[in-house]
Amino acid sequence: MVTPLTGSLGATINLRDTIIPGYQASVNALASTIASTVNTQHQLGFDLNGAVGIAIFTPAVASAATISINPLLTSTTQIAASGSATLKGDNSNALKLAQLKGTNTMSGATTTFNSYFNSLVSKIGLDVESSKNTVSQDVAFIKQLSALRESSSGVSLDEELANLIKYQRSYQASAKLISTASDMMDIALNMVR
Amino acid sequence: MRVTANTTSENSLFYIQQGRARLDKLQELISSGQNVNRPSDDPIASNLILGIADKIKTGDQYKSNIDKTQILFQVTGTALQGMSDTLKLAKDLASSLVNGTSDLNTRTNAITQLQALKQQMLDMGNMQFNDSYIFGGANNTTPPFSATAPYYQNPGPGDETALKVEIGNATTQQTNIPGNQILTANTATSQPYGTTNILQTLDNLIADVGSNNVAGIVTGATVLVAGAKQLQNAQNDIITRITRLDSAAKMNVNNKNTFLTILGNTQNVDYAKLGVELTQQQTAFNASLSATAKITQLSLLDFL
Repeated sequence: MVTPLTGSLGATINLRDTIIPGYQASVNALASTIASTVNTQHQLGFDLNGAVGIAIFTPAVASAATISINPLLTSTTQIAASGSATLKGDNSNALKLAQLKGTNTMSGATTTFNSYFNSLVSKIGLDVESSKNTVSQDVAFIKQLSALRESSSGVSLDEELANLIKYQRSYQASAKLISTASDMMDIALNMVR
Repeated sequence: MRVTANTTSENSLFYIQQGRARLDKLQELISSGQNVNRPSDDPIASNLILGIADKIKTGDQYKSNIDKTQILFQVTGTALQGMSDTLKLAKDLASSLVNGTSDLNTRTNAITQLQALKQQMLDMGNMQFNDSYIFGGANNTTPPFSATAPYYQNPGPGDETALKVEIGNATTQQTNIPGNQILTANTATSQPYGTTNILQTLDNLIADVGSNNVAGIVTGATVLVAGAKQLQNAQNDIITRITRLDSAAKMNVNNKNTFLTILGNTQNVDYAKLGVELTQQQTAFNASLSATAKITQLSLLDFL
């Protein structure tokens, strides 16, 4: 099997096998961490009926493509806002869920969900911008090279036409020489007659 | 250097394409009105724009939280004012009885009035807002006060949970006043406003008036003064909280304005500048097309 490493095919394969999966892995990490962090916090709380909170997202280790709301979560009464089984009006767990937004949860607990996503967008932007710059440099380079090639191997119509006229003139001159010689020969022969 | 027809044609196409790309870019900027239309336009600015958009949305949520809490505080303040007014009436009534009276009718009337005032107190303690009993702590789906001792939390034990809401980045505000801290404060774990059990005092007063216990009535009148002070403290606390929310709301608006300004500076295009650039690029593009058309027509053949 041929596995091109360079050229258009190589780039396309690299894009398919390395670059895009890399981005997908980052988005998946984000989805998975959101799912597991929110689930963990939700499961520490109690719903309106005093029951322990169930997972909000399923599956627990989700990828961005498959993350979805737990089908068992069918009513708002199952939202575990309370931090106590007996206190229905408590909102301490809901507050903790809301505060996850500002908590460093991603990249080994060094950054927030938002910063992580923003950095990912920025990284993709940089990658695309750098590719665009490379393409425009390469196009200019190719143009320069093809101008050089054209300069040594291309056909300039003006040049060829000038040559044509030059050779035409030289042909005319040669013909004129022959016709002059012929005329001279005629004169010489007539003198003898 | 030999310049061929191919060289001219390639050069012309290359520069015409560049001109068209620049025009296209200008057209996009003008019609979208935004400097950054995709992350690759400016990756660093993209990060900033996303970050600011997120902060603006978060600020909007804080504003919503603050608005709702303000309303809750107004309702709580109204209830506390009602309690304060009721307690004042009870205090006046008690003061009028401190010398005692042997007239049964007077005492019966006083008892009826005190009972009505106590009921008013209970009603205000059981005030609801949005289906929640505002003085019920976290156990706010059932009326927190009942008519008999220990008064607070019926059914179940008294609850003093401080309900909190986020009003700023990592800043929370307590939204409730647990009822026992204002009406049965001697039973509360935390006693920020006072230690008077107003409901118990009213019940004692009713009993003392019934038995014409002058010493008891005098004590009751004194305790009610402390109770009034306790309610006043709670009202002051609510006013302080409202002031805090006001300043948080003001800061929130200022932050939003700042963020919007930064966003505008980063994201909004300068139409005047783009207009000038567009004219320049149009002229350049026209010149490029015209020069290409003229040069490609030139041939030595025309002069032979």
